[in-house]
Amino acid sequence: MSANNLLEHYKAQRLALAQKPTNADWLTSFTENLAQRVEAYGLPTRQNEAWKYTRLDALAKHEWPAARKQAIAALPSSVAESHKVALVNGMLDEAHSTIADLPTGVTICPLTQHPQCETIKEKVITHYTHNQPKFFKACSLFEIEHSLVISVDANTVCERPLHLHNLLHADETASSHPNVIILLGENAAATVVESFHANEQQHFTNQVVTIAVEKNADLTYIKCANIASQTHCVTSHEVMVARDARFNAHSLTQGAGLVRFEWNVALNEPNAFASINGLFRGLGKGQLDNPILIKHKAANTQSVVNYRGILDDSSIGVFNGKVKVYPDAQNICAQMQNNNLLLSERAEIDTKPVLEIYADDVKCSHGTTVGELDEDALFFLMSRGIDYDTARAMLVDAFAHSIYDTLFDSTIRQWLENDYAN
Amino acid sequence: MTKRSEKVETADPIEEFLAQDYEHGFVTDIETDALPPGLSEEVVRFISAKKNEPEFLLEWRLKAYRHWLTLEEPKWAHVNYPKIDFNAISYYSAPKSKTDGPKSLDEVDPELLKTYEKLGIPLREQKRLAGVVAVDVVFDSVSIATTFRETLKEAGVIFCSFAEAVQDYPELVEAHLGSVVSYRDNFYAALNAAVFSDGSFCYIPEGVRCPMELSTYFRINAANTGQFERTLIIAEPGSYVSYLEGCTAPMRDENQLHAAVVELIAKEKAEIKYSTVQNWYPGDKDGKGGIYNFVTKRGDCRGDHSKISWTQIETGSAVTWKYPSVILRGDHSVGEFYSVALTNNYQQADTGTKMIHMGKHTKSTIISKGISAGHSQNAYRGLVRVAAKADNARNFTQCDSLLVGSKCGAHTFPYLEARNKTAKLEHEATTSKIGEDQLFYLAQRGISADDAVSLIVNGFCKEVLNELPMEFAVEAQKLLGINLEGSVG
Repeated sequence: MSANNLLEHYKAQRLALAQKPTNADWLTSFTENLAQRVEAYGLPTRQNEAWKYTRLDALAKHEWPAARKQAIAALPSSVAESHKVALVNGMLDEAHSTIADLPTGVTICPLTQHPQCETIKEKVITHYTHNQPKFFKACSLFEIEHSLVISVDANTVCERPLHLHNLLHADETASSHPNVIILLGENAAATVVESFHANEQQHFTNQVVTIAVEKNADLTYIKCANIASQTHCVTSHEVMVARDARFNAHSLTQGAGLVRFEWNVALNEPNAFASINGLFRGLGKGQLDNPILIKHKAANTQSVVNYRGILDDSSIGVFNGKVKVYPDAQNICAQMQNNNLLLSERAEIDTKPVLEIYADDVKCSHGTTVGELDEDALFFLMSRGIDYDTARAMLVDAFAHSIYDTLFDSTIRQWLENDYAN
Repeated sequence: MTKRSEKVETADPIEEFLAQDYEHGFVTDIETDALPPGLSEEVVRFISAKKNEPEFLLEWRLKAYRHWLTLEEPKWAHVNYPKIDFNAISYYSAPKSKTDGPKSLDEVDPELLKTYEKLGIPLREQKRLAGVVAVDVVFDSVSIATTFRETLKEAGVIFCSFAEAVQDYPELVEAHLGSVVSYRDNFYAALNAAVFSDGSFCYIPEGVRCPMELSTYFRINAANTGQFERTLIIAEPGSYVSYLEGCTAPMRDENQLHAAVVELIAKEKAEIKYSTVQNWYPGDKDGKGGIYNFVTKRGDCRGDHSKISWTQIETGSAVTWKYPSVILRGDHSVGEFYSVALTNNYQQADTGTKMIHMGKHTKSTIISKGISAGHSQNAYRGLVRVAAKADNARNFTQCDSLLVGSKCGAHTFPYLEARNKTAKLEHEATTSKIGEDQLFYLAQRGISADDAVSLIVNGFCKEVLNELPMEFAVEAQKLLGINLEGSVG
């Protein structure tokens, strides 16, 4: 079977889900529509602008049967003082979660069990009707009814961070679709940390995270994946930000596998704000892909995108950022920055910061740099008795630190620096 | 064109400034020798026979035509235009004159010469002026006159129309034609290779510094014709040439197609400076008519220490789609791209450059300034690629956009691909509008809104205008002013 055909297998397996009879009308019409989308788009290829630099060869080598329910022995380390949530192969593991003592107004449960299930469904369906998903997103959304919902009611502040462990645990090659919906009501505030952890098997995670931040709400979302070469992770974040609301994301990826963290942020109402700070560190044959789209749909909206890439061995980093300012969305401020460090002869970086602007009262800028470690700085450290490897590591850490510095919560920073990065 | 003296101060001088007409929009009524519209192998053979071309060229044209038939029109650019019917275009239109074209200026149709005078290139007068610029003029598809050929010959420089080069120097043409832009390169390059009718040819021998600026003026005159010219410049080791190109077209309601190919070859330590002032008819203020300008321009820094520099002022055309590029093949070679693209009314531009670093210690600089006004869309699209073996490559890119009016769009699509860790690449871009405070400051000092816009725009483009040869810089500044008149208030 040729390389591409194995992904065809995955496609067929996902399409079969649309055939399964459901007892809900909304689901039937939703999946029918998705099936049409999957058929219409087919597998993305490098001819497709959004996938120009992404090699899907590693994904095409395996069939990806759906992962089954699994029990795990223990959770990996968590952020101190956090409410823990364990999602194993896309299914909520209540035994390892500490969600019994959640503050009032904060709900974490599967979509179908959520008290506001109907409103959430409607919101999600409306969003995906207007923003038609393409191949991977559509394949994942077939399982929308199994999504995990994290909701914070209006006027509620969740003081402690919520740590969502996204675990992939299987005895054989498997795929999972751990979809998540995060909803913050008006004036609500929360911090969500989501980390990926996989066991030794070949894994493919295809995830869609749908986020709605309502008026004047404040969401900080830290997403991290430390991925070994046998793990592949394609995630789409669909974010809707309402009037006066703030969305701060941190996208931290590293490893030797394929990681594609896509961010689609719509600033739908005036005064909405979004920032995404990203760090990607490639090792081995890692592929770290970062497609970002910020849509300024309303006046007085502001966005900041700041990514740093560190590429070692023969890893490939991709930064594919786009800021789009819609007609009549005046008084916009948008910044996009991507700095990259190439550490090895064989490493590669492809960066494409795009501005698409249809309004005139805007201040938009983007900048990109690519370079290697500063020889002079290295020499300076070595002349003070620090050996080459340590000096190199110091400089690389210093380069990465400007992204960690954007994280204000010290407990999360501590966890990231001590447990995640190593 | 609105005269400034007649101008009444209105509430919105931006609008008024923008409302300027195209001043080169006249049609010259001369008899032309044209093919009926349509494209087939016969047309390709006809053009080739008409030009009395050698076998190799006909073969090359036919190969290109057959390849073109297999291609689909590209759709990826950020532009919108109705589908072009390639069979509704006439692929050959020449001013009717003596069998082999004019031998000297005296043989040129006086109507034509008048046209050029209107355009501001009085050929006769230039003969009298101290020899600053040698001009080759391409009218519709045929090169009509080349000035100063004798002076150039003394220096060993060959500067003539492409058709003449094919007759007189077939071995040079055969050796270099298509070596930078192959007929397989893209849809329009293939079309051009099949049906190109004329263009300019320039050869600078080893060690020669071309004694004067060389210049080509292109004009599309006849209706329903496409212009497909081809320029080939070969700079032998150690030589230098500065080449200027200007273009205009009459005002017509239909869209006309211009698909040119420019190939530059710089050998060891050679330098080519190529400047363009493109002012094709952009269509009227409702977006009707205008030229589709789909051009493939590429330079090849083949030798070590060679340098190619592109400077372009793009103010015309309904749709512009071009990326003057440099392949930095030789070690220590240098590529430069300086561009001002101005769009007004319903104009659309998708322009930029490609810098392909292949040699070691290669350097490139990209400065791009986009100005959009009215309902226009202006996009910068650029690629900087560093190949795995290109050690110590260096690139600096700056692309700024200026928005005038709230209905226009400014877009930036930069691609940076680095496969070598010693590469140092920098890219910066900003988008902003002409500030009310800037205009107010100038108004306070008694400068009218029009002049203020012109001043700000010229200041915005200064880095690029400085790169232009003197004669062109003046023309370019004037063009920017005229095209923006009435745009700010």
